[in-house]
Amino acid sequence: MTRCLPSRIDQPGVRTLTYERSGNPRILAALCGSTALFLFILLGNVAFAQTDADISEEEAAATADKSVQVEFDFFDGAAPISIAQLKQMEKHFKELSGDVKDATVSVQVGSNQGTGVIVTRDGYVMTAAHVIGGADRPAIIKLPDGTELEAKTLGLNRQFDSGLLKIKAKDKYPYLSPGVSSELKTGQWVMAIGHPGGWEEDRGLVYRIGRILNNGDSAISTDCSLVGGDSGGPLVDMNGDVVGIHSRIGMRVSDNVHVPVDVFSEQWDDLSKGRDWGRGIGGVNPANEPWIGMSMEGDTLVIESVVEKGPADKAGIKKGDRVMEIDGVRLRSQRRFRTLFQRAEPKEKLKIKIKRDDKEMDIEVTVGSRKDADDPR
Amino acid sequence: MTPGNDLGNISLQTSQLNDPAMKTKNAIHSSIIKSHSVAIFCALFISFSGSSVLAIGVQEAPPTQQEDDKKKEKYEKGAEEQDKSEQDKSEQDESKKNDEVKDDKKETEEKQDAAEENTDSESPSEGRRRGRRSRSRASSRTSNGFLDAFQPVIGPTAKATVQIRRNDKTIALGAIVSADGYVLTKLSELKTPITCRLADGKDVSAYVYGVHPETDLALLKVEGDKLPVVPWATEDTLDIGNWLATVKDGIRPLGVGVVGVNARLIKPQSGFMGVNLRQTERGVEITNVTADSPAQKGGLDRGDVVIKVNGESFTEIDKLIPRVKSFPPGEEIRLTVLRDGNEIVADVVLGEERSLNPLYERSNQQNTMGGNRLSKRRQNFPSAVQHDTFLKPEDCGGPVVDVDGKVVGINIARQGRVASLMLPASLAQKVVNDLKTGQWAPAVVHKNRIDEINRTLQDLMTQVALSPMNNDDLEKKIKELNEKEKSLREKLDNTYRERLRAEWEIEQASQTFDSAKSEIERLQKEREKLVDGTK
Repeated sequence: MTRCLPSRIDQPGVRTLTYERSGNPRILAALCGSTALFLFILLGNVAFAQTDADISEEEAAATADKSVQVEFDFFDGAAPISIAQLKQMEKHFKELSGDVKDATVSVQVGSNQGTGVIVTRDGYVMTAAHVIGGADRPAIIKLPDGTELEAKTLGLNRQFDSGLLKIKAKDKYPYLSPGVSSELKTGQWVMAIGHPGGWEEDRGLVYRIGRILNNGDSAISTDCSLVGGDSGGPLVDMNGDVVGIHSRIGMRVSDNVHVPVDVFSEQWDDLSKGRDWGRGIGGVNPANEPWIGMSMEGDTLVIESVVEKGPADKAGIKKGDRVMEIDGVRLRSQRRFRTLFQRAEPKEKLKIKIKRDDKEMDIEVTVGSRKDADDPR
Repeated sequence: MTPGNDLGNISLQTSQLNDPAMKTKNAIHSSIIKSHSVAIFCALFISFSGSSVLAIGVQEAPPTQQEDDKKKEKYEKGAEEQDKSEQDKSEQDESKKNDEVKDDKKETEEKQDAAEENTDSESPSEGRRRGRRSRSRASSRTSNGFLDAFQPVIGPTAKATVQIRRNDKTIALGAIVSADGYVLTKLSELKTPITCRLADGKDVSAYVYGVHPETDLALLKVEGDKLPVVPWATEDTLDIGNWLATVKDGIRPLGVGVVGVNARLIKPQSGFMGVNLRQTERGVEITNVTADSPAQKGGLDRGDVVIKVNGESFTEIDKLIPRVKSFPPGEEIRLTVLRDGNEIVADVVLGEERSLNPLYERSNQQNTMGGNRLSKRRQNFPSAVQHDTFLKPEDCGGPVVDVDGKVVGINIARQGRVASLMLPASLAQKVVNDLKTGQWAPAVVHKNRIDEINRTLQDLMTQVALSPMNNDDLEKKIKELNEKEKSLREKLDNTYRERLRAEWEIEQASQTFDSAKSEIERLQKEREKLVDGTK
């Protein structure tokens, strides 16, 4: 046993075990003569899924007496300080690149091209929302060997840039398991895989190494350099579990942003049901853009016109009314009204206070969607 | 959807997330005022899409973990209050906000660039002491702490790595490949006169001994007899995931990455016309001309039948296409086409396929943004390993070592945002052996090119002599070739002169050395005499 890992388990939550096997960091750091977190793992018959609390000191000493090789733990973000440690990592990178290869695919939806990763045996593929662009669209999945498979886009959350596809043909596909992104630590080593610049027959997948620079709830940043075409590709931890999906980049080569895989895990039901929601990184689905169906005079808050049978009209708002409040917030400018209104979700009920003939009155508007405006029924 | 709207949407969006990593533009605005060190960046999509816009938001560079936690705490405590106060503020000056954010961003970028330039213009000793990546965070893969792990193995290579310098700037790195002063480097970055800065900081003059355009390698010669030589790897065991450390001159690598794609042929970029063709009985017919393409600019039309390329006749599509593709972008080719029974000539300046394709255009932009400069020549190598080390064009030409400290290749190009290219050691060594023979001396290579042009000239003149028709085209071509020949001759003369001068300098230096040596000997003898005298 060289990889000192519990075997891959499919339920995300179980992965926590991997991170509980650290020893007392302070003591170990002292051993290294450094304040950095270096974790030593003893090779041999130790069950690594156990926490150190489960191994008594005597047991540990006994194992050490058998004199087994001492390894350092880069899984938790320790930086190598010796050639032996670099070699240990290198050996692992090589194995890892082999493990993750088959499940990383090219994704083509219309004129959009990106990368994706198969995450279930029956062919669910994680990618970025902006790669698929919408729900229920035909897509082509290209396996690393060039095999093309028909697929369909399922759900997407445009706020986080998460998107899901499903390969149509029933088969058993190579896949990678989702990990738990919330447990990623700053400095942790990760590998990014993708098709930068799009699919290239004589090049294939491109592998990059980097470390977690920041781990937020809605975005992970790393110094794995990414570029157009990588979108939707997997960021994997040293276990080979998917912890992020490539989404966007910043100006510097070290600014690379990934969707945390937890976003997928938590919203799996909605994504797999084909829900298209959220606004932001993945654009806006017209069905989710709030629409009220009225216009105001110039920069004022005075209603200029209302769209017949639109949300404002249905609620009883009339030309000449002055909007005073929205959900209890006093308004001083039209801009403010727009800002606040943009936050509403279609079908949400909004309380709007208007002034008509010097009388103030409360009106409840059921927010419509831009889709209704473009496509009136 | 305009980018401006997108900015608005993003800020709305992010403000709804209780996530400190993605905050509102208001927060970004204030944080920039507070601290210059906060880098913001434009988040860009990284897929190819014909429809979406490029810039989709302004985001704060990821905060450090501590900052993050602090912000999170603050955020959780008073998320609502904060939100409200920000809203109020935004109401007052929101109209200016977008512009201001943009300006600030620009300013920050400029500062970054300036900072980078400062680093570059440092004296080498300062650069070594401070380390090039001193601005990197401790937990990144460019952090000094991590790079230092390679210290035990890079010494021998660092001692044999030189900086190729011109006008007080490093234009490339090089590897000393023999103790008597042969230095391997990247050809296309060279512009004479050059000097080599050895690892001990000494500047020595150098001349180009051999050039190998196929691999873009050049062999330089410097004076020396016991110079340290790079330790070449003896076997080729590289595979995806292998660590690669790019060595400069210090005890710390310039950068570290891994093999991302195994050695492969890097195809040349081929010239592009922008036409659709089909085979007909009359020849190869143009069925479509892309708008704004080189073909359209050159006057080609749908229905034209291409019969000649630069005077060479073609009747088959399978022969014509590879011929056109064999010309590089930027080359002007003369097509002879049949239109309404008349022969018409069209001069087409070949373009890059990418320039017409919005998808590739974007990729190009992403590859070069943030000051990520690319090598002039970054395509067309017989074999190269792709790795993810962050390099600048002037970091190429030098040795790359594995974890054993053996030189496994020579960096040959910064190709894009995610890619650096390295020629494998076996190929580089083979080229060194070829170049050492002297058959690839710049003078010889230039001479061969001149001979080739002369042959073409002869051919054309024969054609002129044999043809009773209007020869304006041929005459024009001949004039062009004459000019090319003239410039090559000048280059050749320059190279000769440089070489002669270098040899003269060496001669002078050795004379000075000899006279100093004899002076010392004379003094020693005198001293011995004096000693004898006192006895």
